Amino acid sequence: MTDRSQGLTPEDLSAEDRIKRLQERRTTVGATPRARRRHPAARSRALFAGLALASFGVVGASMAATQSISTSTVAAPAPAPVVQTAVPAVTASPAPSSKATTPAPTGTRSAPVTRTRGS
Amino acid sequence: MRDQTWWYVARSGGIVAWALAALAVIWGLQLSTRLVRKPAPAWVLDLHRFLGGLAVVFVGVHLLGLALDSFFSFGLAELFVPFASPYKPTEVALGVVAMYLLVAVEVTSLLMKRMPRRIWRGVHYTSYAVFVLGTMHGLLAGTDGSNVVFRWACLIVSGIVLYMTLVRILAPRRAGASRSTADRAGTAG
Repeated sequence: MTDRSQGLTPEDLSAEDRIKRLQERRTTVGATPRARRRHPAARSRALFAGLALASFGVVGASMAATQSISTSTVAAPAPAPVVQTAVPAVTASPAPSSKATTPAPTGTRSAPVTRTRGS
Repeated sequence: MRDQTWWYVARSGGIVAWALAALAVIWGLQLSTRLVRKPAPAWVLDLHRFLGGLAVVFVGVHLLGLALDSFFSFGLAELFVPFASPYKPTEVALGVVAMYLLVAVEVTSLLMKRMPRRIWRGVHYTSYAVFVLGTMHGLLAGTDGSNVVFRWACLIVSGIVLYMTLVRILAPRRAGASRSTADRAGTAG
């Protein structure tokens, strides 16, 4: 029978049922599978993002550690007055630093322990 | 903030950006050559896109570190205009050009569906130039160019990229087949 009051034919009702079933299925399954389908490598994305952040920190920390070791070894012979004359020559032009070849924009180079740009 | 913190941020960010860009290129070549059979093309494509985007983010970190570092006081002109840097202008310019090309590759990939395929492909091929220029920039302009570990990493990664590129050139049938697979997947990032 056709429900003329609502303007629905049997075909419409069955279509409506189908839509309802689909909606129910979606609500039971949830939104997670859709999100996964959108990004097939979602877990790998998170993994690589974490790895990138971790390596950023590790590389930066190792640079700082190497720098502090090199400055401490350079600064070590400072107490001897004879050696002291040689120390500024070493620290004023840190060998591994390519940046050291350019003139410093400010007079900060006079403090080699804090401003050397080696390793 | 410690005195040299931004300097370490700039250097570390640059190295990570280079590594991510290299991985993105390798993933893209894997997509077109399918040298390794196992990973699904959709997974490779998704990760390829993500790695490219992440490389852009870390280039931003690299620039931020340089801008905030007080030692050289890089301004906008030195960061964004090739040959404007007083420090090693040519070597720094390589990095500036690589950055622009990387951004172009990313933007055209995001707008791929709205632009002619030929233009997208032409711009996407410049990712090889991004890799070469970025590697040269790291080796020649960076303080870490003399670092043995970084040099070996550059050598190994360049070898992998070169090998995969040769495979792609010399095996056009396989490349063509996988390219159509990527096209069917909807995109080829």
